[in-house]
Amino acid sequence: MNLRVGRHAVLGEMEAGRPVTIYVDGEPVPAREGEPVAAALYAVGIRTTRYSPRSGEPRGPFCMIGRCTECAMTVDGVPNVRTCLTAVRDGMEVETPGRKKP
Amino acid sequence: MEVMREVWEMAAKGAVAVLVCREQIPCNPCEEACRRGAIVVGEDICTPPRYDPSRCDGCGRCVAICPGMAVVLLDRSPGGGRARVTLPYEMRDAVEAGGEAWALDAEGVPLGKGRIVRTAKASRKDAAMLVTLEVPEEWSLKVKGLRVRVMSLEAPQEAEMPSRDEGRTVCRCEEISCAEAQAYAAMGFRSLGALRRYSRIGLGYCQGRFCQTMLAGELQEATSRTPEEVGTFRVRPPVRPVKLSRLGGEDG
Repeated sequence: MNLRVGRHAVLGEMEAGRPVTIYVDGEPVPAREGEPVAAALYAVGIRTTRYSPRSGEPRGPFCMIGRCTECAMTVDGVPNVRTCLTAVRDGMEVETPGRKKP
Repeated sequence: MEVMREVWEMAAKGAVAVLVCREQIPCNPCEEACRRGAIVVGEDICTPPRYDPSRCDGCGRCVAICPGMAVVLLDRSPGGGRARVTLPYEMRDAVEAGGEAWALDAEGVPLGKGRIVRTAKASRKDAAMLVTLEVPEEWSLKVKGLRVRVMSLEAPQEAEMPSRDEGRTVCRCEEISCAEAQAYAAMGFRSLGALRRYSRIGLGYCQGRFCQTMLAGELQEATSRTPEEVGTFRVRPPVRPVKLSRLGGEDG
């Protein structure tokens, strides 16, 4: 199932970015350059963007407009980056905060 | 002690300031605040203030301004064994005339309950609000503070908190459910500010940007108060998390 928007009701045809690879907790994930990191994760079925420090429960993108902070991840070593507002660049390293290291 | 005797006698006619400042620290806002020259610190700012009660008209400006909260007003004019003590109070929440508050001594030990007869808003940003408490005359001179708590002092108790799984989440950063917020309202928290200080709601990454509107609605409903009464979170810069390196002038 393709979860990327090809044609947007208001914005019309969406130009797909160049295929690139980002690394999520070390695992390579195919993405499109310029799309939001959260969208790239969503497209490959990654629904957990962080683990709650209070309960340890998984959390996922909620508002998608940069307000709710549920999608805040560590990107290229910078903590608390709202991935719904952050554009994919080739080779990006994304880490899931609160995820237990194996 | 001569001064105390004079203060006590003057208080029979109306409000008069009681200074308890013993600090030899560089501080003189009381001298600046007094329009009648009743408080003098003088050239050496580390001198404890000298106080002439006969010049005091009980205006309370020194009470509101003292950063050490070392001045109160005493008024024994109501008579009948009652006295009124006016104290600085820095938490606005839940202090209303007609209510009750604990009167505390200099160590913070409760002396007993007093009736709040008057509250006066701070006249300027660097001053405290004034709360006038009516208490029995015999311990009125010992009153140096007050405590207003929605929970009783004898038996501080946690309200029964619902489980986090219950219902919608209202604060996502600190992970607090709507049901929890309602339980806090039931505990007696009446304003967003008070709720925030107690529960951490709105103190997370989004700084209340996401939760404030919903929370205000919940609180209004739970407490039957207006949006003005419930208030808003106080916004202080930086409103968004900012890297220290950027604040330090580096690119970051």
